[in-house]
Amino acid sequence: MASEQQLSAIKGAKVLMVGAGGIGCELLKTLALSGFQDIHIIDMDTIEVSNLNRQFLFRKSHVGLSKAKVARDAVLRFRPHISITPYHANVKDSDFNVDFFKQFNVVLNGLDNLDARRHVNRLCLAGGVPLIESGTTGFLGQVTVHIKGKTECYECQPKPAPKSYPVCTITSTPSKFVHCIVWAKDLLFAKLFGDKNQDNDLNVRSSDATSSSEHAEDVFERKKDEVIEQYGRKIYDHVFGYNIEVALSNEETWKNRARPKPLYIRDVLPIELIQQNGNADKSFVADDSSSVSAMASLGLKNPQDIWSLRENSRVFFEALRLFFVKREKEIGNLSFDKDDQLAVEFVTAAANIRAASFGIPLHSLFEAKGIAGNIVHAVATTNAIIAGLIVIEAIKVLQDDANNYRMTYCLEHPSRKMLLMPVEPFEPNKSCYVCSETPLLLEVNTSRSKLSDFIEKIVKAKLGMSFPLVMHGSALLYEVGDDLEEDMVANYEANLEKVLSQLPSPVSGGTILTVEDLQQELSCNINIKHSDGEVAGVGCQVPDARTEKPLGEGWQLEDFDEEKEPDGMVLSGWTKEKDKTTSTENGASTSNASEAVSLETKEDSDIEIVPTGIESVTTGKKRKLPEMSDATIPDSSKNELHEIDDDDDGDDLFMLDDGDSDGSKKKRLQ
Amino acid sequence: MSLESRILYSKAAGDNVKQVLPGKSPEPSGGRPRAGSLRGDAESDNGLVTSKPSWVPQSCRYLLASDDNDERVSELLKLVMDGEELTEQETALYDRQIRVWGADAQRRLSKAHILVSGLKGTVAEFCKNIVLAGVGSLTLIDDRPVTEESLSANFLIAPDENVFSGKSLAELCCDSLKDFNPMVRVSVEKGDLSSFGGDFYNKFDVVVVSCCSLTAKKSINEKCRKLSKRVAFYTVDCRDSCGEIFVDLQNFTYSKKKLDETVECQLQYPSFEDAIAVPWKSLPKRMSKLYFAMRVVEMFEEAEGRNPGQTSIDDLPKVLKLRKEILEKHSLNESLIPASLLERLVAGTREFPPVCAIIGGILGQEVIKAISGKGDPFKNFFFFDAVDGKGVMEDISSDLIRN
Repeated sequence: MASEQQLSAIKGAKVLMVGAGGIGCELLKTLALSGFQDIHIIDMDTIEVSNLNRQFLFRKSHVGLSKAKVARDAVLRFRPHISITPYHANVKDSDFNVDFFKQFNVVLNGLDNLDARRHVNRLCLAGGVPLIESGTTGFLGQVTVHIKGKTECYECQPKPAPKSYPVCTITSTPSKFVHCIVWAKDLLFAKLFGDKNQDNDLNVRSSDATSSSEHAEDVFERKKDEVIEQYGRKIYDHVFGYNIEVALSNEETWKNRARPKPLYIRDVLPIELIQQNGNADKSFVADDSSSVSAMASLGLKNPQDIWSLRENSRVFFEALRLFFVKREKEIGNLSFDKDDQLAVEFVTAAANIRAASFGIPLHSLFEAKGIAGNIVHAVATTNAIIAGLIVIEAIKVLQDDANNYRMTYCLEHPSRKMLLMPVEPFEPNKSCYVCSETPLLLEVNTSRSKLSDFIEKIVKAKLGMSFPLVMHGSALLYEVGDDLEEDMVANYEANLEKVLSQLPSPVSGGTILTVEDLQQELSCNINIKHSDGEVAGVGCQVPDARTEKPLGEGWQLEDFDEEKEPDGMVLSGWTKEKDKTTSTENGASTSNASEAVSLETKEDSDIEIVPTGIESVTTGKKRKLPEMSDATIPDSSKNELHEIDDDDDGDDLFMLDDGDSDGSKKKRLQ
Repeated sequence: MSLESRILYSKAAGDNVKQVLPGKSPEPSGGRPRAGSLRGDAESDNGLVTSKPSWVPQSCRYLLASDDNDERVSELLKLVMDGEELTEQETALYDRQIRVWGADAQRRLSKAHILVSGLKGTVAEFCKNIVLAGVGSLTLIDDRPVTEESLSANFLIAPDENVFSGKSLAELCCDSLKDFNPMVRVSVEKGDLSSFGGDFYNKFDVVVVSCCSLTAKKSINEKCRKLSKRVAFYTVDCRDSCGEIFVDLQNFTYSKKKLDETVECQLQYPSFEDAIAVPWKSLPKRMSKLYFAMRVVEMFEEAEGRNPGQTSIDDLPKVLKLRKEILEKHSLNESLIPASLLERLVAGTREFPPVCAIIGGILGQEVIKAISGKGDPFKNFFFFDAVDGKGVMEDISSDLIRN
C-alpha cells in the first residue's frame, strides 16, 4: 500500500507516457490503479491483430484504431475520474518540443525503437525532466532511471545499432538463412515489386562483367504480352540459376567455401505444376488484395511447416503470379511489410530456394516472417512486471528519493536466487556527447566524402538528429527548417553535393564542426581527422561506391561476425568513464549497490541481459550483465568477460554501431 | 494429448456424456472447424472471431453439464477434432508469444484448465495474463460481494454501482475477462473452496488460491496431491508492498535448453504443509525475512479466527508477542523478523497495484512454465518486496533437513 506521502506525490503528479503498446497498456493500467490522476500518452501506432495477445486494453474490434486513444478509453472504464490525454502522433513531431516535455514531473518510456528512445532522452535532458526507460524481450526486461546530472543518461552507453550486412555476403556468399532473407527482401522483392529507380545490387556479381548488365536489365522487365508463367520461369532461372553460375565462375570466392548449386526450374518443378497453380484457385481468391495468399490457393495450411524446395518453388510462382494478377497497381510502389501475407510468402519462398542452393537449412514461413519482419518476442507477463517496476521507480522519482533509485533487471533464470534484480544506477558518463560536452572525433577522407554523406551517415544515422544544423566556426554549412530563405535552401542543396574539403568553408584535418538539433536542443562538437587510407572497414571489395549502402537495415541477429563499418567514416570519442568503483581491487563496491546485489556467488555472472534498446529486441544484440553493472560484479568474472570481448573484435578501435562496443573496448582507448 | 485422454478429460470436466466415438475422425483437412465456431463465438464472414455477442449467457456454459445435449456433443466434438495444429487465428493472435515459447507449448496451454480462488488485485492480474496467453479454460471462485477495497487494485471491475446488482466478485471479473480473449472459456463456480472434494479439483490442471486461510491452503493442497493426475497447486498473497507465491508441482518433469540441446530435468516438490513444517533453524541464514514474517501473520490470523488480510495496526502488539513465542520455539533471535516488516504486513491491508502487477506477472509466467513443461520453474517460494526491489526465490523443503 502507498503511504500518505506517496499518495500525495502521486495525486499531484503530471506524467507523460511515450508508447501505448506492450509495456504501455500495462503501464497505463497500473498508473491508473495506483492513483495517478493526470496522464498524457503519445503513440503513433494503430492496433494490429498480433498486439492482442498482450496489449490487453485492445480488442479485435479496435484493429486499425489509435493505440493511445483506445487505451485511454479502456482505462477510463475502470477509473472514470482521472484525466488521460492521448496523442495519436509521433513523439518526434515538433509539437512535442522541450516546453512540452517540461510540463511533466516524469516521463515514462515504453517504446520499441532506439531512434525514439534517443530522441526522448535528449528532450528530457534538455528540459531537465526525469526519465524512466524500459524494455522487454521474451521473459527478459529492464527498467532504468535517468536523471540529468545524477544518473547516466540513456545514451551514456552506446547502443547497438540496427544490424547491416556487407553487400557481398548478401549477393554472393550467404552462409546463414538471414542472409537469404535479406537478399529476398531487400534485393529480389525490391527489384520486382519496388521502386524501379532505386539502386539495387541484385546483379552485383554478374554486372562486374559489363556485358551481362544488359542481360540483367531485360530479365526483370516483364515484356508486353509475356505470359506470367513464362516471366516467372525467366526470373527463377536468372536469379537461382544463371546468377549462381556467374558467381561460381569466380573461383577465388569458393576456395574456402562450399560451392552453391545453380537451380533451374526445369529440374525442380514440372511445367504442368506451375501452370496448375494458376488454375487451381479461380473460385478461391478473394478480391480484397490484403487477403490474397499463395498458401491459400496452394492449399498449404500450417505456417510452421518447412516447405520442400518444390513447395517453395510453387509458392514462389504463385505469389509472383498473384502480385501481377491481383495487385498489379501496387507493383513499382511496394516495400516489404511483415503484415503483407503475400509479400511474406514470396520472401519466404525466395529465401528458401536460395538457401537450398547454398546448402543452408530451410525455414518455415513463421520463422522467415520473424526474421524478415524483425519481429520481437513478446509476452504479457514480462510487460506487466516491467510496468509494475516502472511505477515503483516513478513514485520514488516523484518523492525525490534519489538514494533509492534502482535499475531493475527481470531475468529468465535466477541469478543469486533473484528473478528481479535491483542495481544502483550508474553515474553519468563524463564523456557522453549527449549529456556532457565532450567532443567527438570523426576520421574521414575529407576529399572523398560529401557533406550529404556526413549528414546522412553520421549526423542522422549515428547521432540520431532529426533536424540537423551544421556549423564550421560561424559559417553555416547546412540547416533544415520551414522558414528558410529560398537562396539559403539552394545554397545548402549545393553544399550537400560537395566533398567536405571543397565546401565554402573547407573542412579538413583539425577542423571542429558544430552539429546541432534545434528540436532536441542538443549540440555537440566533432573534431575532424583527415584520413587518406582505404575506406575503413568495408567488408568486401565492391565495384562501385554506390553499393556501399548497408543492406538489411533495421535488423540483426546475435551471431554476426563479418559485419564491418560500411560507411567509410569512423566516429569515435564516446568513451565510458573509468569511474566509480569499477576499478577497485576486490570488486566489492562501497556503494549501496553491493547491498542491492549480494556478491555471494559467482556462478551466474554470465547471465545475459537485453539492453534497454528494446521493447522488444529490436536492436537485438545482448549485453552481458556484468558489463552493465560493473559495480556489483566480482572482478574475476569481469576479467573473464573482458578477455572474451577482446578476442572477438579485430583491429577497429571504434564503431559506434557495433553491438559489441562495450566496456572493454572503450577502456583500451583511454 | 491423445484422442482418448482428451475424451477422458472432457468427461472429467463435469460431463458424463459418452456419445462421442473415439474412432470418429476429424474432417478432411480444410474442413476442420475454426476455433471458436463451436464455442458460440460470433464470427464475421471471413471466419475471424470478432466479439462475444451479448446474448451469450454468462454462465459456465461449456465446462459444466447443461440441459442442451447437442451443445455437450459439440463441445466433445470440438475436443476430438482439435487437431495437433494451431488454427490460423491462433497463430495470428499468439504470433509474438509462440516466438517465445513455441507452438508446442501454445498447444498445451490451449488444453489446460485453471482454477483460481480469491479475486483481489494480484489474482486479477494473473487471470489477465493467463487468459491472454490462451489457456483452455479459466474457472473463478469468489462469492464475496464487491467492496470499495476489492476495487482498489482490480482493473476488471468498473466502479459503477449499478452493475454490481447482487453479482459476486467472481461474476464481475468473469464478464470482463471473457472479453480479453474469445478463445478462452471463462466461467464461475459458486461455493466454498474448502468444501469441494477431490472430484472437483480433478477437473483442473492448475489450482491457484489467494486470500485463503492456513488450514484451507493445507487441505486443498492435500486434495490435489491425492489425485491420480498431477494438479499444480499455487498460493499467492500480497500484503502491503510485499508478495509471496508458493508452488507445489509434486513430481515435475520438464525440458530446458542447455546450450544447443534440450535436456530433461526433474524436480520433487513438498506440500505446503511439509514446506512450512521445516524447522526454521535448518533454513539458510540468508533466507528472505518475508518468509518468516508471512508465517507469523498467517498464524496470527489462524489463531484469532480472522479472514486473511483482516488485520490492522492495532494487532501489532499481539503479532509481536506471537513472533516472540514462535522464535523462542525455534530457538532463534527476534531480530530474524524485523518489527517494522510485521508492522507493514498487518497495517497495509490494501494492495499496492504495482506489486499486484509484478506478482501476478511472475505467477503467470510460472503457470505457463508448469503447463508447457518448458523452462525452469521455481521451487518453491517466491518473494518480492517493493522496498528493496528484490524478487527472490527460496527453496524450502525437507531436503534442507537432511543436509
